[in-house]
Amino acid sequence: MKKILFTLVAMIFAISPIYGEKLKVVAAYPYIASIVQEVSGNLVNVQTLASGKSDPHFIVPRPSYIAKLRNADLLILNGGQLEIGWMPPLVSQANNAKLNGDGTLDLSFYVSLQDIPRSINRIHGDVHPSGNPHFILDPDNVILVAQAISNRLSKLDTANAARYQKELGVFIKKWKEHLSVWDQSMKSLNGVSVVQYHDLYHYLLSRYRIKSAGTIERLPGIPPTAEHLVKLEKVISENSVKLIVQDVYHPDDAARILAEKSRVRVVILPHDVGATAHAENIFALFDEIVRLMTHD
Amino acid sequence: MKTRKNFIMIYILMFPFLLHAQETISPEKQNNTSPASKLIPNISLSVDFSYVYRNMEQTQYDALGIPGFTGAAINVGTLNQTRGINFNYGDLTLYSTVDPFFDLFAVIGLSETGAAIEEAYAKTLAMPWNLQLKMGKFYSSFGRLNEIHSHAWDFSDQPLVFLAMFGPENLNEKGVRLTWLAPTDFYLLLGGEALTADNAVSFGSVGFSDPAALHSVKNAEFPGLYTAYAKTSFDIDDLVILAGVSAARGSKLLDNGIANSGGFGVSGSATIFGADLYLKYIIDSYRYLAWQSEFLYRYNAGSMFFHNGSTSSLIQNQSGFYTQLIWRFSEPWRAGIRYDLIQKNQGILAGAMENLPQNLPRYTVMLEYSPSEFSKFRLQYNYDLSQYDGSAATINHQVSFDMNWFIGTHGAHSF
Repeated sequence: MKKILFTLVAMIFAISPIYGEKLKVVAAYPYIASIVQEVSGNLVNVQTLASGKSDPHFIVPRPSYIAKLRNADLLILNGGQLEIGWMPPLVSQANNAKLNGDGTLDLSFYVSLQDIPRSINRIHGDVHPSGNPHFILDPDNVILVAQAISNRLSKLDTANAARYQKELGVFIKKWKEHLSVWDQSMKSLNGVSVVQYHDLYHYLLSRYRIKSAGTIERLPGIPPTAEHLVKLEKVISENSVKLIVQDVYHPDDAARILAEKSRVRVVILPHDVGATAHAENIFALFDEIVRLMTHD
Repeated sequence: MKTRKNFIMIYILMFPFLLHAQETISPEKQNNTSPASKLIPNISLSVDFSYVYRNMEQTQYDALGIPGFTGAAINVGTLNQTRGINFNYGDLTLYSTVDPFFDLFAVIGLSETGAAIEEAYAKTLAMPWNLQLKMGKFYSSFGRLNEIHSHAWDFSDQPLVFLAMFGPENLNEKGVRLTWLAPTDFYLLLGGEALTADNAVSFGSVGFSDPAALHSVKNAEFPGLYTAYAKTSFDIDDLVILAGVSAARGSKLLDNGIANSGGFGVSGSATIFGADLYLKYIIDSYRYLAWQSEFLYRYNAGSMFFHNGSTSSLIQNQSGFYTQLIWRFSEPWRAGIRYDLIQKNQGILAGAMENLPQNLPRYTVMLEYSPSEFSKFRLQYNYDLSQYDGSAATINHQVSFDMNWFIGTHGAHSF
């Protein structure tokens, strides 16, 4: 009997360092988890909710996510209302007081959002009132996000603060090295016009001075009509559009038809880590975007 | 009088919000939002209209009932009651965080004649040990469908078993709820509620007395009704499974005109057990297949008191279920089928079995189109064999076209 008890206690102690001591971080999207891994030097436990293959606006709020949030020390959100359709009820049901205050990090607070609508009216579709939330596709914002994450980890886990700062420095240096290569490759697209499905790649396009001539969806969140596609065909020829940039989650039949009619190339671009097989971390995501956009 | 008082209260409560709501419309203010305007609660309005055609005149339809459940008038007060145009509801929803300790949420149900508080409750934000307390007036978490607002239903009406056991408002009471989220890797929620027993269909809290006062039954005071439930969920890749069991037990008081000759009253207790299962297969971001079923069993035990002062014992054993399949086959389109059945309908009055109809079905199909997330149109057909005109079975065909819009900031729906 004593032996069994001893074994049980020993087992609990054996497990506890893995689950007990490390800071438990829950990331709304996979890119966040990837950055956390880069800047935390294996000192935290990170779990991801949404899949990179899904439309980030419409994540199914699975009850299993509530179980993950229940034990979290830190929830990291993209913010800018990207999670408004799925996250609030999950947090509310998680009954986790730790997520109030410093237990939630909204990354959109640390970057400057573009495309803030002057008037908010749903006649324009399902607009994002606080600006375009897909900011992570500007590689400069990745640095701001990494800093915000590192600072919050240091604040919650003060004992390891020095280590987090060091890991951040290493990450930023490595990121800037990659960035100079990406910038060099993307120069060739300067001034080129493209068409997107949704204004998902806004930050990427504006950084590299690529013009977005139109979107396949009629308005944000409103699927295309035949009439709209006819108009878009005109836009493509008038602006000599070179590329149709399609995300991985919307049906790509409209893009394919347009491409065939207008003899334009379609690229299916990952928007998040895990969206395509190659985009397995934050570095690979940008490698993949640059490769797909620049190869002919 | 009560409605009018409610209305005045709502107007007073709403007044500051109405003022602020106007302010936020001007675009200049958007770029220079004052910190105070950020404290305006989230406000939304959902409006639902329908056009209904059925093979039965209104007076006959309004007299229908399910023997052993409500007797007659089961359809009075339901959505889509009128053959022709129905203003089903206008739901004004307000919610916000109160302070670091509470969220407040209210739904004011607007009708053509007035307004009533449908829900108004506070929820704790910072209780220890993953506990959460909810206080106020709210839909009970008994089962799956009960706490879902009608604008988020998959069909334009309630399942038959909910209508028969809880009436058109479902189980909506005043009281408190405590939930505990278990520290497991999968989702496991345990909850219990202490409520008023105002739901007159299965419970009832108002006492009565026969004219000679031979038998007087006192009012059932709070809490006249307790519920308990457990819900669990896990994923198998893109298949999400959610299952629950629930129980409710409360006082059952019913005054069916005991003051008049031929009238009677019932005093006793009602116990209801429920089991629900929901399977959702997520095909992609815009398509899914969802199978939802709920089974309810009710046991009533008590006494019947008659106008003349005589009494007799009453036992009821009843059950029913619904099972439905919803297919969202593209971003704007959903289709669904539903099968309802009142299965068991047993009444034992003074030791003698009553002759009640059993196995009463209803069949439903629907097709829904949503131009955006904020508007939807639903065409639905019901073939209903569950309802009786007195003791005569009826065949009820109903076609409804339901229109729903909402504006404002509306909180996301739970799974």
